[in-house]
Amino acid sequence: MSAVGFHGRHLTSEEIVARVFPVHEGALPVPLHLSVCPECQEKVGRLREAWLLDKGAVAGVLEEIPPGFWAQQRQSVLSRVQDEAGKAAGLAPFPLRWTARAVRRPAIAAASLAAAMALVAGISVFWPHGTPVAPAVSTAAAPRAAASRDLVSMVDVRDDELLRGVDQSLSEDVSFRPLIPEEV
Amino acid sequence: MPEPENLSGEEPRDTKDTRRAPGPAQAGRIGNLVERAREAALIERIRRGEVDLFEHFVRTYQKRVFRLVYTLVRDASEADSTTQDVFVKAFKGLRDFKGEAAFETWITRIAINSVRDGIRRKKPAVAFGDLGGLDGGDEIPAAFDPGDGTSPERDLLSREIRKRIGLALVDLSPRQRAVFVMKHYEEKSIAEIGEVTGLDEGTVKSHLFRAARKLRERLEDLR
Repeated sequence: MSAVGFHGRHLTSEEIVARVFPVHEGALPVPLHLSVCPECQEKVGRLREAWLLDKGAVAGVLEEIPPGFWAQQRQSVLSRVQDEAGKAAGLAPFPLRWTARAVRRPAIAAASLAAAMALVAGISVFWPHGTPVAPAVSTAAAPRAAASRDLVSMVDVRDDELLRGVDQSLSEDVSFRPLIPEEV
Repeated sequence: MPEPENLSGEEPRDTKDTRRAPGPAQAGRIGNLVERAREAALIERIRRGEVDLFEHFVRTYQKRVFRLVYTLVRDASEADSTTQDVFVKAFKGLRDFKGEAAFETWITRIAINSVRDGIRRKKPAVAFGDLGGLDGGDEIPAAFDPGDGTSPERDLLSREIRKRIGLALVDLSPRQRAVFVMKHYEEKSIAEIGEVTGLDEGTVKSHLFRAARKLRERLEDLR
């Protein structure tokens, strides 16, 4: 009598694959049928063997790589890394950096250029051409200067009047005469 | 000198303090933490301009990255150039590396993404190349070669099944392929795969399930 008869059906292909490539972690419980059915054992064994063959082939390729390959790969990586570090430090000359940025972000570069041109155009249009600078300054200061001149002249007038008054008093009042020096 | 009397009434402890002797798992965790701290310090120095120190990372991880990339693309030349690109990308991205994951996890993520980008660029060409010489041209270590002690028919069938496994992997999306390879070739746990790919565990399992179904479809006629 076959194994199927005593211990249920054969494993489906899905179950066979799941035994070799389980989705869940940990050991799967072995179905009773698998433990007694050579046919199912053979199928699971073949698949596992093929998978190990593939896994082993990958390992074999890696084992065969000569040590020089790794050193060369490392050297190549480090050389590229040094280049990147140089770029990051901004060792590239200015026009090269600017060009690189413009190429990377053409929209931003074009917008910046347009804004700069608009600014220059605006300044050149609204700049006050031909207006003399000096008179503008003197015009503003003129009232102050005139006022100051008036103030000085009024003080002088008052001084003159005072001096004249003193002279007059001295010449008219006899009691002050002895106090005046002879030269005066 | 007489032993001091045990006044506490507790069982006397073993003279050897077991708290100071971590088990292998704990020692492994401590070792990982020390290594991560060391790498974090190195990364900081590289960021400050000591670029030569990056060699430590290349030397430590180049074989692991190459193996993963090779398992995914099955072309040594492409695996070499992709591995180099991975390290250059890692260097350029060091500024953004926050140290939340281990450097190995981070660089594995870069490798997976690089392979995925490469596969997308090359579609619809078969990214597996010639599937690593699946027709029997490649060298297989004797321990893995079922040709020893097996019949030629069985050997042939094993090679055929292996070819089908490769073809099934080609059919998978780049992410499914990466998940499958990490689980069954790199022997990573579901949690580790989730960390590398940024997927939750349920999604990782879903990818594995789909990969297994694809494989079953490829093997159907061999039954």
